[in-house]
Amino acid sequence: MTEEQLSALLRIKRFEQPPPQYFDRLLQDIHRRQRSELLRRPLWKIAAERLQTFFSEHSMGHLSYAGALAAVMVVGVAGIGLMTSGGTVVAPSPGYAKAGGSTLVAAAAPKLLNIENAKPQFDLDTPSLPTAQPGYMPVAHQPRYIIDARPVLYEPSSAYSF
Amino acid sequence: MQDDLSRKQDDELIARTQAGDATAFDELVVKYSPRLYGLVYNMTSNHEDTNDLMQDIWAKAYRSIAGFRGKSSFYTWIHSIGVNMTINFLKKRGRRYTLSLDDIDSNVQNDKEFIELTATSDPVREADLSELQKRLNEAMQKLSHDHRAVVTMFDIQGMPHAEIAKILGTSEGTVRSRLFYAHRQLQNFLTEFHS
Repeated sequence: MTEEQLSALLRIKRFEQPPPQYFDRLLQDIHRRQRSELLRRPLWKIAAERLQTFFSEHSMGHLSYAGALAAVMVVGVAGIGLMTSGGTVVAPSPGYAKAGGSTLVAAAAPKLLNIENAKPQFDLDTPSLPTAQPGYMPVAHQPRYIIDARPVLYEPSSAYSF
Repeated sequence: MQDDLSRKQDDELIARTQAGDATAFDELVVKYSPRLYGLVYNMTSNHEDTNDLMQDIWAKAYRSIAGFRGKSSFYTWIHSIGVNMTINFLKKRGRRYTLSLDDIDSNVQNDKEFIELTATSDPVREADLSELQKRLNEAMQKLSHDHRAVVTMFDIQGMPHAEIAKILGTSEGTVRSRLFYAHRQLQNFLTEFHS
């Protein structure tokens, strides 16, 4: 069998067609299937589609989607954080500082710790005001000052005399 | 393969479908189903399978048309979906199939092109047409899925090499090479039958 004979035979196969009413029925079958697929769709898919339609109606670009989503997430996380911490500011952990969360906090943290842990130093040779430090005993020869809020006046006042 | 007017009409129908007009999609179904049917039918060799696949292909096209950006023509796009889904189906089906490619439209017996084709070809004149058809279909089923797809698109549907390459996502050279080997296989099988 030559190449031409084979080609001619194969071309006859293009006349193998279904009955004419087949394509009308096919369209009906496709419609039926589309309807059944609509009914079988999961809830999350419908919700996602509605969200997409909402954004597309407001003519937003793809980047705007990401921006809006990021903003919603930041607000959500901040809200949850505030609710769980009861409004108090939580000090950042060292891990957070190491991870590069905030270099300012990382730099300030050791200094603050040094100030807190430093022992008070007293120079006993120089006179100073008494303080409420534990372990400090006032020495007898040191002068004692009493500071009154009002100066004491021992003379009778003439202003209220009758 | 496709003239500019047809492509313009398709673009309009696609835009309408993407905007939510389901009737525009119906027009695309009506326009492309006969050719698509020929492609799937000659690859599966079975009416029932072809019918199921046609529904699957159009359902997938409807789901994906929102993402269609017009980089290729709709014709190429829908044929790509058709070929890929049919090849996947054939891989799953394996060798479980029954041939049902034996119906030539009775109206076509009077068609000018059909008469010319059957009159000029010696084997067709000598052998019983239906028997030869059966043999050819059996020979087609012996080809690999990729080779059968190429023969269907080139020899049966008359598509150019470049269009087939686009649909299959391969080079024109690969298409020509597959055609060469597929033709040789078919010739060997049919020569055995005649001898």
